[in-house]
Amino acid sequence: MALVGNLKEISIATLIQLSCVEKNTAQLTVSTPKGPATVYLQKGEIIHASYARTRGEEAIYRILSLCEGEFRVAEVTDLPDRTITASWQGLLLEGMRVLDETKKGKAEVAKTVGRHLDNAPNVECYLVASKNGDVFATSCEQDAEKMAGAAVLLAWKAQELSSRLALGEVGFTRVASGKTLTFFLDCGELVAVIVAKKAAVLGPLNALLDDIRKRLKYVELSNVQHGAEVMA
Amino acid sequence: MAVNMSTVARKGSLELLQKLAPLREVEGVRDYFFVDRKGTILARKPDSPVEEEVAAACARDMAQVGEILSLLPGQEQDERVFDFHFKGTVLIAWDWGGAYLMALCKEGVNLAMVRMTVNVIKEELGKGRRFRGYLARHSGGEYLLSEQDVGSERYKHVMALETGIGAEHKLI
Repeated sequence: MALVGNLKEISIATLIQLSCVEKNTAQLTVSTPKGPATVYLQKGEIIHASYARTRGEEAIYRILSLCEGEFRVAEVTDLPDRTITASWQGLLLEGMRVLDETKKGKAEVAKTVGRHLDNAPNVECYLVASKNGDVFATSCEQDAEKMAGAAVLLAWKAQELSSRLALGEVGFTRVASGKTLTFFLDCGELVAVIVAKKAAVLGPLNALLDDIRKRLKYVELSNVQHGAEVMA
Repeated sequence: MAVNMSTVARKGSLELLQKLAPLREVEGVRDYFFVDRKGTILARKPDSPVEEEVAAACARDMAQVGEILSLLPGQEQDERVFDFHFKGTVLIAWDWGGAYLMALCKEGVNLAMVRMTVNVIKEELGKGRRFRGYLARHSGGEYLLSEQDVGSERYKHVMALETGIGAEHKLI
């Protein structure tokens, strides 16, 4: 019998752990915007995983970072070739360590971007946050949580507009209002809000935004260390 | 899809359609439509391929974006212009007090030219008493937030921050 639910209710690590302890032979699938994430277990050992063009251990580490999405655990008889030989305990421990480093890496990248923005002309305030609301860098502490929430929601709405009108990957959103220009950047795992004076010269401002987008896009699970080195 | 002239005529927006015509002349503007916050199409480019229900959903998205931005300090609510930059396309949306003019443009379009053209259109529309009354009738009403939107944890979290009610909601 299949077990179904959402990762909002149970963590992926717990789900894998339960299946391993029970010595199940099963296929765990999570629906994500990047496509299905799949883990195969044979008698309680993780033997294969695939997610977003990655396979094996790398895929497991990425899958462990998922915190929402419908999942399904079902018995399986037709198993794929084994790509993972490490023990499930070792994989989960290493996965948690990678996640922790990634979080620290995100914060480092965001702080570097923050220092860059502190010195940028015409920038009135800024914020860099993760898509789950962790604020990593800001010049407006007082409204940071509200701004982070708004940035996450706006990124979500821009994605909805994109899918409705088949517009492709979201870059950034600019809002002209009163005397300010507000830029919302959707950079994969991070979002940024930059409020600039409307009178700012757009050429340099656009170049600055491009630069920041490239920096923030470096924050990927597999290359976070590399991204921090590039910016340093 | 051909323009649904019965809808246009029924809504009495033929004049509006004519007023928007200069947008057609701007190089790089692929499509445009004008919707109120209830999702009713007031006018659109005659050969617009955008289905009515899609345009209505876009209006709802814009109403929500407006609501999200009103949470931020220093964001004046009137006369906002939104540029959504996607790969190869820019979607520009003008918030005219509860109705949205939305233009889909090719990447690299002369944004200054588009904005200038729309400013002229807006001036022209502002002079028309009939249009002002028409907009007043259409711009009121509730945002079309779906149950799914209102029920989302992210939405509840941000609204809780604003109102102080239900602040236990976590952003997920």
